[in-house]
Amino acid sequence: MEMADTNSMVDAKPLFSFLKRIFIEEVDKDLLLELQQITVSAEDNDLDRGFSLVGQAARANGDRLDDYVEELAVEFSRLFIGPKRAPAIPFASFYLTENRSVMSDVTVTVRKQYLEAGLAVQNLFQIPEDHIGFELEFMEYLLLRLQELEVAGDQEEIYRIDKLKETFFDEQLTTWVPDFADLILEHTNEDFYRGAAYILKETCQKH
Amino acid sequence: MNTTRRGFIKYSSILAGSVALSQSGMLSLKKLSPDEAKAATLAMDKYKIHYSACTMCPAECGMEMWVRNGQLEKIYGNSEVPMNDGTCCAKGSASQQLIYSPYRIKYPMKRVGERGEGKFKRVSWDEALDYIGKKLISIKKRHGAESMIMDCGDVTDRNPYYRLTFAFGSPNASEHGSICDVPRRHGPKLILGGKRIEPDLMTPKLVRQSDNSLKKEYGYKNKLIIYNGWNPFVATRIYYENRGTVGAQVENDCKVVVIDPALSNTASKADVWLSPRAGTDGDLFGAMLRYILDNDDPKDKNRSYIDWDMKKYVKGWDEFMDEFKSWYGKKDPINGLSYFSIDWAAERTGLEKKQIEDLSHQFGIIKPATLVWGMQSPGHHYNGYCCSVIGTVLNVITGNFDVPGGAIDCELVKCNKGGSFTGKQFKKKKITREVNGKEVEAEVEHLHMDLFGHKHPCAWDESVGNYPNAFMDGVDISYGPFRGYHYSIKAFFLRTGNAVYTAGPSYRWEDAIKAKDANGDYKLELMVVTDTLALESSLYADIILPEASFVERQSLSDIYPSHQVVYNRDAVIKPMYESKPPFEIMNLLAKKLHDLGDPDIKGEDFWEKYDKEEDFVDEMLAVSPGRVNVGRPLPYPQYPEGYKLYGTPDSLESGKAKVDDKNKKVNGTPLTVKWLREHNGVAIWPMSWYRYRKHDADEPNYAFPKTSSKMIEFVWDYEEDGKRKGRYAKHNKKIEESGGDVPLGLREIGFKKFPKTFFWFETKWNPHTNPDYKKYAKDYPFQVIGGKIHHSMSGTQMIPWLGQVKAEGTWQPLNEPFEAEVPEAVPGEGMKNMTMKFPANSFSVGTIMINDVDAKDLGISTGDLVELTNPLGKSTKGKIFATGGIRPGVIKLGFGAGGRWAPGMGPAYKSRKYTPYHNMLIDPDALSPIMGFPAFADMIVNIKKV
Repeated sequence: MEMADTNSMVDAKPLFSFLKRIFIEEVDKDLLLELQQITVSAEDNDLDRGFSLVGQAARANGDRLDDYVEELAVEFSRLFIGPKRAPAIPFASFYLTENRSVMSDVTVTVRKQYLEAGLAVQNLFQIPEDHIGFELEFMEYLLLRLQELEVAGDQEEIYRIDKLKETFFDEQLTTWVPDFADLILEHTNEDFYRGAAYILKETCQKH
Repeated sequence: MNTTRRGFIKYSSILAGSVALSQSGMLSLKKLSPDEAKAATLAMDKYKIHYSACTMCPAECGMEMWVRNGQLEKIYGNSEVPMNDGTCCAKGSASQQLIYSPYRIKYPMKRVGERGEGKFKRVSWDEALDYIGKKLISIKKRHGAESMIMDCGDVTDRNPYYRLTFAFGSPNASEHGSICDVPRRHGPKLILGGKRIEPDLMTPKLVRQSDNSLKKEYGYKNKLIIYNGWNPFVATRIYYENRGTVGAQVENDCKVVVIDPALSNTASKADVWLSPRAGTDGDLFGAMLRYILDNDDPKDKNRSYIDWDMKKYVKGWDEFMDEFKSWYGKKDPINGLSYFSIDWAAERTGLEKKQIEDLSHQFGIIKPATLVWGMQSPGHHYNGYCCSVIGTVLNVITGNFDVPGGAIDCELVKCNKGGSFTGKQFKKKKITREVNGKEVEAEVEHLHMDLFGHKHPCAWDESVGNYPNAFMDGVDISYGPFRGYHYSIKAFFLRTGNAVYTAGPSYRWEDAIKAKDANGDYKLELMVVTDTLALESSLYADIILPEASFVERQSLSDIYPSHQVVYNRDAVIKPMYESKPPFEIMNLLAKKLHDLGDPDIKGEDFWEKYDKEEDFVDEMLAVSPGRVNVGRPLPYPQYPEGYKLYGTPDSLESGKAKVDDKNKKVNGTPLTVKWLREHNGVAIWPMSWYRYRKHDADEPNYAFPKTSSKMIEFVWDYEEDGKRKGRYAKHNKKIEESGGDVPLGLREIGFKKFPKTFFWFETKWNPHTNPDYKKYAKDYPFQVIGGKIHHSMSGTQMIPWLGQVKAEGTWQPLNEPFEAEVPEAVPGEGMKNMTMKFPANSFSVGTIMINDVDAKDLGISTGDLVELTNPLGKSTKGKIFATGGIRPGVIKLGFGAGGRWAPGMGPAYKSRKYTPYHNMLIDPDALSPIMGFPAFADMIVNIKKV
């Protein structure tokens, strides 16, 4: 990734906020109501395609949102949790290690990267750090931090955090998230999560 | 500006206005203070060693586990634990693949579809507990606490669940043993108060020396081991027996005989393999006993079979032998021969007369010897009780019981982990129930569905096979103070077991769990599954609770020791995701019930009493080792013989433990988890033999074994000093007090009461021994046997590396093409995980083992798909593995290796349509008459090519 592109990503913080919210936990009614407002005029890329699907899904179920929230919760469990063999495991280690297990060296590397930014997961050693939602939240945090640092004008820290963000994005998110998104697309007919997968894939694509 | 960049800006500006997003804050991460961040950084990359116990198979070997960065990285055998003596097998080494399996149960789940449909959604612990708690309170109000059954599970650490159940007010709690090997244990229980007899093979043993020091002794004294229907190289939960058998063969010239219709791994290394018809073990044992009694001659060195000195330690010898010999005069209706004669046994077992005579002679003459009988057989036969009784008697009368190199009942000598941890005291609570219009007061335990029910009132191990019937029809109390009371079963907790698949034919379980009442509601109102992995049964649950894996919880292990050894199962890593250890689940559910108004659950019994998991384990250890100071050499010569020992090995060894003459106790410093952690995770007290004798005189010590008389009992209902004694006494008393109401199980075999001494009855579905089934012989010419597969547990089949191994039970690569993700060694690239295409016949799957001559006669060969059909019209499909390694007329299916319909089973799931499901063929109503145990190994089938 070119540095220029990385810098430009600062603007994308809300996008990461959105994605982490979608992939950490089940969606609620308030979020669906807001997503109903998203309309896409022309579908030129996966971002357009994704937001179009998400917006349409939220609108199409507008008169039955309570039921829809429940259906999405069931689909969230089926895709990412189980108890049947979940088809889209939301952990980086699954995609990046020889055993397709979780809590691997990848997890420890991510933990160290969080520590470099002065962060840790809320429940250490429980849900592995390389969960999709946690990694997206980390990106969100780094982008927020860069915005704050730019206001403060701390160039040295800007450089350090930007480097961390660059490394994390390049060596972590882009290496497995597109594969994860592809699994979602392969295994669900639910437009909301198909849309979310397109957005995720495009956001975490190597550019 | 590229399209993505434009898109980022476009959609980010739209999303920036979202209140729902902007207010979400940090959901998973938190900011650390500089000091916290520094401390966390410094703590990285350092190993910490823990001692724990494996549960990848039921051998539960002692383990040394290395943890770094919160991750279990390395696993070794604990060299201080004698069960495995430092070894760690492939299953243990693969633990991380299970613990870190992405397919674990991670969160509480609530069913949203119909039972069995497999549709769930994640819920919070509080929501799950609230759902369970409200249901339980409502059920208790309407049907009584007894309408809840708790199956406390499969892989140890089950005591919190017992405690919770009994405190709630239900006496109905069971565990895996109830569907494991109940008839196999019956003989030792009646005669010794024990459970399982194993050869004296555990090494090293800590033994008191003549200079009073303690020394670890290696080496073997065994000269003959007979394994009947027992396959320690594959199916054992006794790892020392696995290596010890070979050790005794090599180092002590011990002869090993394996009796099994199939050439098991153990049989393949035996000196002699005898291959009888299935379900004729009791016949063979009976013939051995008769041969030994008839041919014993104390004056002839070559025929001095019986250790007559043994009679000093046995109660009821004459009664037993008289009853046994009374059968000599009877003619067996199936062959017209005298019972237990060599001719009779040859006719029934299909073995040659000489083979039976040689076996009997050798067992009589070679000493020390051990006769061992297994889980599959006789454990899974309707009449396995008879076999295990005779087997125990054979070990005793030949002078092999508890001698060096002989037969040890592990249950009698293991460390006590008693105390009040299981909450047995709660079962003594007085309650009232209205019975036939009258209010009756008695204790909770009098509502036990088996012990006071109308079917199997001596089922001290609970009849899990009967649960589906109880879900459908409820429980009729026929004995005790509540006689005449009927109650429904409305709630079922299943913890780390897979009863729907394993505890009988799945269709019977499915029908019962899914049955609805006239209102369209499930008759069984609540089903909860608590587990680490999602197996078949979880698909039927209303709520699934994630339990911590075996390295994330605390408890103890001591698998079948020759003397008192107990080792720590430490919590090595934190429970992952939202899984919780049994201890915490117990406290949380107890607290929830209390908060919802359950009057029986009190904080002082749960969350106030046990602040942390270690408190609970310490209470379990407070009564350790809890065994009497008996045997030769006397374990602690510094303390009185026959006194019960308590405390750490070092505190007892110091000689400073307090002797309590009044209560005949020796009290050292109580054993704790802390002590175990500081001593390689294990406590070992000294070994001794002849534990039923005085250490310095050939007389009974009346302190061992664990029977009413503290002698070896060949009678089980007798009077002495005006008191009714013996293992069956109290159960017969119940029948007498009911006015002679014969339990359903006993009615099936024509008994009116539990027998006072030797008894005999035939098994079911065996046309060779039971005349009732002779008519099926022609149309259903094959007996079906099962056998644990090498992987032993479902969880290990889910591990790709282990699943690929060609092993016993999954004998042959007979798969159809499939894809699976597996780790593979790639030259030059190291290990890589990849989606591999397994072409046909490249992956070992569950098959149908059949004699090659039988196969030829049927016109089938290895790899052919066939259908097995039983006389009940039930069938299963599988592929043929034709071999010379099985008796003609018998087929063998791997237990648990076929027809797996839980998607989590990975490759085993993918082969479900052409791998045979053993339990589909068993008779759901063939529950053995004494304890109500499923007759897993009594069935006949025909075979048709598909």
